[in-house]
Amino acid sequence: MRKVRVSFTLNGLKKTDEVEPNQTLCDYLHDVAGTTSVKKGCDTGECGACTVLLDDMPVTSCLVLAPQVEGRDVVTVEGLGTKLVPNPVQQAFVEHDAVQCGYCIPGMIVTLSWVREHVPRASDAEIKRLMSGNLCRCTGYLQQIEALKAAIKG
Amino acid sequence: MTAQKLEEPIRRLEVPRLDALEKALGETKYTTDNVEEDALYVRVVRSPHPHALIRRIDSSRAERVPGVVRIATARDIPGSNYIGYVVQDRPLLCHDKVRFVGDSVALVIADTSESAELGVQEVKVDYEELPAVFDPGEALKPGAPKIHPGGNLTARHFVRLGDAEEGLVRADFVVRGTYSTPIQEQAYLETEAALAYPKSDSMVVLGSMQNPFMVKKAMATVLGRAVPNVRIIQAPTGGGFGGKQDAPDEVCSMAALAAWLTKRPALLAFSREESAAFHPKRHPMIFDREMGVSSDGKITAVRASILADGGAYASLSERVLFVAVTTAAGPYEIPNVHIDGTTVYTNNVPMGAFRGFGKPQASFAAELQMDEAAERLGMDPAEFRLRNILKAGSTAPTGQVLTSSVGLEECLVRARADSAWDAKRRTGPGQGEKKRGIGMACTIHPEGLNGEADAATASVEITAVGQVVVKTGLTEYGQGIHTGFVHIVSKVLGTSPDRVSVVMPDTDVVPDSGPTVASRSTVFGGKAILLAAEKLRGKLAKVASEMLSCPPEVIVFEGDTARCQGRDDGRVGFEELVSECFRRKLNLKEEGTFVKPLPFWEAGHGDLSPSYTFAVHVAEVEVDTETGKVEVVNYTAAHESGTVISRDQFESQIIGGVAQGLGYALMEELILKDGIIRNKTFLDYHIPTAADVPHIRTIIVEAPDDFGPFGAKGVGEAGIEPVAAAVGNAVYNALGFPIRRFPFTPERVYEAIEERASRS
Ligand code: FES
Ligand code: FES
Repeated sequence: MRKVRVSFTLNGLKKTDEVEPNQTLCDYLHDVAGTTSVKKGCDTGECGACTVLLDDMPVTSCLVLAPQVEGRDVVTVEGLGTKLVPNPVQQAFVEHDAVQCGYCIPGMIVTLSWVREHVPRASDAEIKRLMSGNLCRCTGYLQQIEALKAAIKG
Repeated sequence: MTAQKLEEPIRRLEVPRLDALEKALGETKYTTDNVEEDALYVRVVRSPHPHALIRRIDSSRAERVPGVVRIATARDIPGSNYIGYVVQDRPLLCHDKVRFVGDSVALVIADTSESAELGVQEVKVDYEELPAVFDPGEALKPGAPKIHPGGNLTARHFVRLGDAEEGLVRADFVVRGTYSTPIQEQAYLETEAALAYPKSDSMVVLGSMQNPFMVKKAMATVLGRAVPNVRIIQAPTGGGFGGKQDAPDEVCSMAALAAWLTKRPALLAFSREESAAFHPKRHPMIFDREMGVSSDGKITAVRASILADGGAYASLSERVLFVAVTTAAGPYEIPNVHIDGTTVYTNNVPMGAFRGFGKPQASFAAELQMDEAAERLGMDPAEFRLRNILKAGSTAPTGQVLTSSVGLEECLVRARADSAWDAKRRTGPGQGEKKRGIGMACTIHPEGLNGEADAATASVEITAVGQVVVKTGLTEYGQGIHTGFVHIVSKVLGTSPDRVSVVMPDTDVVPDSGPTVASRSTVFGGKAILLAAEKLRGKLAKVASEMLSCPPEVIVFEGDTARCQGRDDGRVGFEELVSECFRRKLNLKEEGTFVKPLPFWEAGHGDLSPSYTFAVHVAEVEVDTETGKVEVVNYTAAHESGTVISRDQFESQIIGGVAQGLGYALMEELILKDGIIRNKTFLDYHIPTAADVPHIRTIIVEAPDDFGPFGAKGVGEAGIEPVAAAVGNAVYNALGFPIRRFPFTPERVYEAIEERASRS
């Protein structure tokens, strides 16, 4: 198949690349672009491990094709914080023991960072609904919800 | 020994998990995050039949698919094709016959995963279908299709104490019932993966796993003399829950075989569907159970028979059955016990290890029947349990006198109080369509490998710059165990936790500490580490005593210094002390080994473990009688696990276990039809989302005993064990009658309500 040229922003940096037309954004980000935080738990849009922000909306990147990001803005968890300056949700996850095996964590933090920014007044029930697209098999979610609430309070 | 008292419990330390920040930043590299450009991709050709002979494998067309480098079948295996944890009955690649849908037949090795996938479709296998058997009861009948040469019986176990026949006769009444439990899928978010690198005389494999030394053994078996050295490195692992106890033996061996045949790095990573089709799951079990009770509320006898479907290969069936059989009577004083268990081969997907390991099943049957007996007695179920519950000094239903701490009663009393049990039982289910119910269940968990000898070795080393390095084969896959080890070492040496690090398990670097299973890591690994650290402290104390001029017995280590007890003048910093040791050419590396000898077990009774952990859970549900929907609205989990090393992580383990247990109780059931799994993806196999987990109140009961480090016991599994039973009893309380099979899905509950209505 002929490769397609795409130009987009990845974690704040402009990027142009040749991609397979049928490659998912998840595979492209993980296998080609080096943003290995983008995890694959199902490849069918059900687990949320591959969640990234596309034009500031959380999406499951395994349901997006790489060429579709032309001209758009993609943020993975690598773009949200660093060791010296973790974002408040990342910091709160550490402090609330919200991380176990870690496999769901990048996607979960992308979603919850978005919730913190856009729905800071969400009720517990709303928070649970907003994070229900991100599965975690280890933690039982409760510490993650506590962490988010702490991060919102700041 | 120094005078410093170490037996006091460690209180909540402000040590976050070692790996939490890295994981939160997305920097942690799991197996598939390390793939380099020259790696080949491996896909597995799987059997579409539950039971068939392999007549011929034709790979000629597959070999011509562009990008396909090589096809591997059983004939390409240089060593032995047969591996397995208890019995070596599972071929890495089937050569004469297949035994379940999904059994591995050949490997396609290609430049890209797409080419490998195309190659899989072009491998033509000529099968001759055989009659298959899917029901464990049918599988034991004469004339049933024979799955393995020795027949379909995998294992039997039994418990005998007193005279159950007599105990049932003497009882004022007997409750009887048949209870059955579903197949549960581990559903770890990271599926199985292994990356193999061939070296001139060795094979290095990086993979997602619980037990690197087991993988090493399996791989050495498969590669045989062809590869003198195999080295296994555990990559950060995205969940295991028992599912990565033995499956990685095969996954890693397949990757290694591909790498050995092609002399190139090879990656094998399963899709979600393959993962569901392949690894061993939680056994479905059927319990025929009867319990005799006297009118004053004492259990006089339990008689039960257990039938487990083990699927196509033995995996850990024999061990799981042993645990189910030995815990089937429940944590009660019962003078007469008669339990028989059987696990059999069928043409279903194999069953094996899953957190709880036979206890969630046993607890469901035992605890539901406890509530049925309480109803007959007209007694509160909490009260009935209290009359029979195990205490320190009690004789367990396996005949063992419990000499270690038993905090079960306190768990029950506190869970009862904190859940407002008495008031809620009095209020009752209510009049409307939505009925409320509250239910209780207990669990007993023997420490370490059940009914087996157990041992762990670990080493602790202090470097010239005063860093403390812990080496153990016990793996981290989300439990936080390595952080726990840091707590232990920093406590013994009086150093700050950031001085201490734990090496990622690598079979060339760390000692074999036994498998990371059975909630044994804190107890066995932790104790081995404690012993090693204490030896180091002894050496340091001697040098410090000379530097400070006071006897070694009174040296105290704390705050990264050593000082003489009762004196404020002299103290020496940890680094300075270490430099002095190095100047004296002292070896600051020590090993510790902790051994649990083979417990006595004979003729159906004996000792399971020197130490046990306990839990009592209370679930509160709302059942919509119009739709059958069960919602858990409140949950209380009281646990006794000796001393708690880290309160945060302890609670995290319990909450995570309860959440998995709620999935098991309410929604998770792998459906097989003629051996074909009907729900392999998250779309149709639902696991709890955040919206499904209620508030969970955790209660920690501390009852240290002298077995584990600082009196700690294990906690990894107990959280899941009583959940289905507690929910089952809550549903029972809401509806007024028990439903003896789960998950309590709306359809099942609705049907049970309808059936009940039509009968009355
Ligand atoms: S991998 Fe994309 S949702 Fe699961
Ligand atoms: S931490 Fe393991 S899946 Fe969420």
